[in-house]
Amino acid sequence: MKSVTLKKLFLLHSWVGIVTAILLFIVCFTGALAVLSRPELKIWANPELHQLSTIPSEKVTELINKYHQKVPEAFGENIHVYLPTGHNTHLLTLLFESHDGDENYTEEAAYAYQFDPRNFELVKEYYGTAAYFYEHRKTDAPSFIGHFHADLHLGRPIGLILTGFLGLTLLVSTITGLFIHRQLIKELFTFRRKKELNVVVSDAHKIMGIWGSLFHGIIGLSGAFLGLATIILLPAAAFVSFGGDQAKLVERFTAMPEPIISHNYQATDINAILIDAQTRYPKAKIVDLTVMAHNDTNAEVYLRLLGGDAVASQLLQYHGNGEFSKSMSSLGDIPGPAIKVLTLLFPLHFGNFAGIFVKCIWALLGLTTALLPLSGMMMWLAKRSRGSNPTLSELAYQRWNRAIIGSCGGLVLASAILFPAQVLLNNLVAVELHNQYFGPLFFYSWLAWFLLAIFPLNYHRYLQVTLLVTGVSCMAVLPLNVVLSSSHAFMANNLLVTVVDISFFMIGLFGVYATKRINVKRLALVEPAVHQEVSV
Amino acid sequence: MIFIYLTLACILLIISSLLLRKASTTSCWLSLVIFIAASICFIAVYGSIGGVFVAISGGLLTNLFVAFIFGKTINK
Repeated sequence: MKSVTLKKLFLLHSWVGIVTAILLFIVCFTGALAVLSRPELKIWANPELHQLSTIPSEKVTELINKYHQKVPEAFGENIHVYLPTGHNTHLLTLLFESHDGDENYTEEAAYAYQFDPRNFELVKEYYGTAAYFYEHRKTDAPSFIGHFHADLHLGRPIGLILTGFLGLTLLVSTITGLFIHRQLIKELFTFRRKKELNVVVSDAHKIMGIWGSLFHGIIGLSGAFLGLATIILLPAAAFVSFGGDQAKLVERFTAMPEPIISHNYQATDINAILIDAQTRYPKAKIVDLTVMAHNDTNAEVYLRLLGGDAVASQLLQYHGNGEFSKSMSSLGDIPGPAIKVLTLLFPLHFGNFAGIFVKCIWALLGLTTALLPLSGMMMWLAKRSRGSNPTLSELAYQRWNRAIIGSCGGLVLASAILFPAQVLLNNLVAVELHNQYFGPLFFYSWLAWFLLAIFPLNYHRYLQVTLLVTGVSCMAVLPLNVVLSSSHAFMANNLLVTVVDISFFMIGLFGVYATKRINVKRLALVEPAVHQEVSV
Repeated sequence: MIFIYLTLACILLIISSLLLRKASTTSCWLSLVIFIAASICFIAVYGSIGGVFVAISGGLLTNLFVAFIFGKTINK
């Protein structure tokens, strides 16, 4: 490749990285956490799910039949059942929905009943718009981080467009990075950890980029698709094929078309359907089911399954009499290889296709995706502040470093604080008030930490304190749980709770240890230049 | 059985990565053979598509860790 082209690619790689580095770190770091949020961390965060085994199908059927009689007829056309598996609601939820609303609402309205999965006691009743119900479901620390990763809590469509474009920039950076680091084979295992910090960061950037390139590329591509599909691709497809009518396009390709209600009674055999699905796919987990035209001869039941032998999630269709109709992808029964590739993008992005082992791999590789823009930015800053003719003054270099620590380190700290806060909320605050705490706690702690960067602090000390507070926050989870909760690492008959509690403690311990190491490194590497620093 | 397969696959991935690090022609080929053996273990647990995805991502992560822990100090 010509040197001019390489130079242009290098410029593109640098500037795309510099402009998006902090945002990319934010999205990728929260993404790495979000991989483990559902169901593992969500189960940990909700004591109702700690002792959970499979919900008996007879009980689900009984509850649907019982509560269907309590709602107006129109609300029996669409019944959504969310099983407490840690993937959506923390309680067993029955949602009776009317698409056309009723006398009080012109939009989609719903009656919702939520039950404690341990004893099936009715915990919460709701009547109102369906959108309000979904928007105000109980959240928890892992779900909050998961939603933040998806749209940065900027709402839709702005948040989705932003994260979608960040996916595209990640893809561009990955591809240009592979071209500009041509000596890939030579650098496959080069890591000079005993050299000065700049060399260590440069080597780390290269090996994370080379070994993670396939992963970064796939995450960038799938992230761009997930962010932009509903906002840009769907309207574009509707414009091309349906004269701009999106509703018509969705109706044509929907996986769950509305059945014609015959008004002839025939009991919908949900119990038999659930048992059949579990027999057909014993390794898969039933996440939710949708019952259409309940107790009508034209009733249809759709079950969404995760895991098992299928990589992507499956949608099973049953007729109301319990007869199995077909298995299809979550996008519907659309033929062609393209749709198969599209359905694979979801599990490849979420890493939820093969249990906890794969999730750990995804989370670790996701952390390298987050560290890449950060190390790239450090290299860019170091290059401009060194040499005989530096373009960045020492003061500006320190300001940049403080800004990076305040924004990126502040995010890590704000995320870490949410977990001990979750333990405190579970034990000291009423459940219905939990949603009010996560947003202010997360954003104000992040903002406060970022504002510290304005002061002329020694940035090594700033990083050290950031790591220390983050480490202590993580370490606090285990003792807080032991003191306040009856279901903790040493009491819960749940391996997941034990592993999560101890993992937090170990991660916190590592953070505190890293604090000490930074101190040593600082003295060893930076002491000659210490007289130039502005410090308080 | 799943635990045994996964443990075996992880050990094979580490051996494959260490062999790749040696960078001689023989060790590179041997590394590839061992990586395929690890992939077979993953396929036995997760099925054909899932197993290949896990093998590739696990291989990348193992190589990354080997590079960090046993990183070379000189380019060859």
